[in-house]
Amino acid sequence: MDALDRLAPPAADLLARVDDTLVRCGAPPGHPVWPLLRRLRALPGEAVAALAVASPAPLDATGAVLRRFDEAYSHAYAALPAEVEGWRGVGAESFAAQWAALRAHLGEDLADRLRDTMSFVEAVERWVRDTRAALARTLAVVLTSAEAVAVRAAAVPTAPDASAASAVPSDEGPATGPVAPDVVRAAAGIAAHVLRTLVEAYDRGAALLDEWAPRLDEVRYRVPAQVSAAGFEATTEVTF
Amino acid sequence: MSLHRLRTLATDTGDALTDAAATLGRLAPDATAFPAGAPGRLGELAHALHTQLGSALAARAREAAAHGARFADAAAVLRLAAAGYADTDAEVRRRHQDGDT
Repeated sequence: MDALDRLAPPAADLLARVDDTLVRCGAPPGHPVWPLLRRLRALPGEAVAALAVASPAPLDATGAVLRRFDEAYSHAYAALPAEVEGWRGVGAESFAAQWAALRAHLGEDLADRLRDTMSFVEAVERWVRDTRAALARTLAVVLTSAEAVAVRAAAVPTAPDASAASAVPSDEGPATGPVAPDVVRAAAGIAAHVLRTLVEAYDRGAALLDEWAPRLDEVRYRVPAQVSAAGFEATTEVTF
Repeated sequence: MSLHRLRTLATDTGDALTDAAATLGRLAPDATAFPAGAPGRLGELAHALHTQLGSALAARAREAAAHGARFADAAAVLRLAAAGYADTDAEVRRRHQDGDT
């Protein structure tokens, strides 16, 4: 259990009110939340709810399997002799070229790509963990803010035709009634705080996609050049 | 190193790579590792990261399967070479012994 696991549940009601206020009342013109909303195309409450259930644990498991194969590739490569001994002649020369290419492809191309994939998994796992940690820090600030008190204390209209009912503070969940401008501003402030954290996380995640793409595609085997055909005078020597 | 020993190594390496391919092909983590259910661009990013990892693991599986098959082919070549030369050697020895008698 991390900090987000602990803070997301108590923040859920507040963020639901924030989402609701944004949907019904918008935000003050020119408020910093507008570009953030346009950028992420998501409300803070629903985005936090989705992040709260994302767990990096499956990535840990994937990384562990890849590390096991990295070791297996290293051992297999180390066991293969660099040169073919006990067999001489033109057939042996041709095979030796093939062998060297097979060995190099395993020890260099395949092993490198496997390690890059492992590093990518670790980078994504770190991104999920860092995003959750950053969001938890933001929620800790938001939950104890004056804006949170203002939003919690206000009644939030829940029906499109909500109109004349008075804004009665309630702990029973959203009620009907108009929303005071300071509550709209407070909700927008909370939303901006949360969305700013999510935009930063988005930018780091998007950078991962671009950074790793060239190192993850399939690596091709380079067939060695054909060794020329033997003459009849060629000598063959074999150790069984 | 003898051809027999080399063939064993090629066979073992081919088998190990084939096994690795099978595991790598099933390794893609489920979407719960990512905030895949997130709305908007965050959800799109999570989906893209999940897809990128799935594609990478599929590529690793294909590489391992193809290279496993190459090592299996190399083992077959070594077996044929060893068998062919052994037969020739046996034939020469037999004829030599026949000539002695």
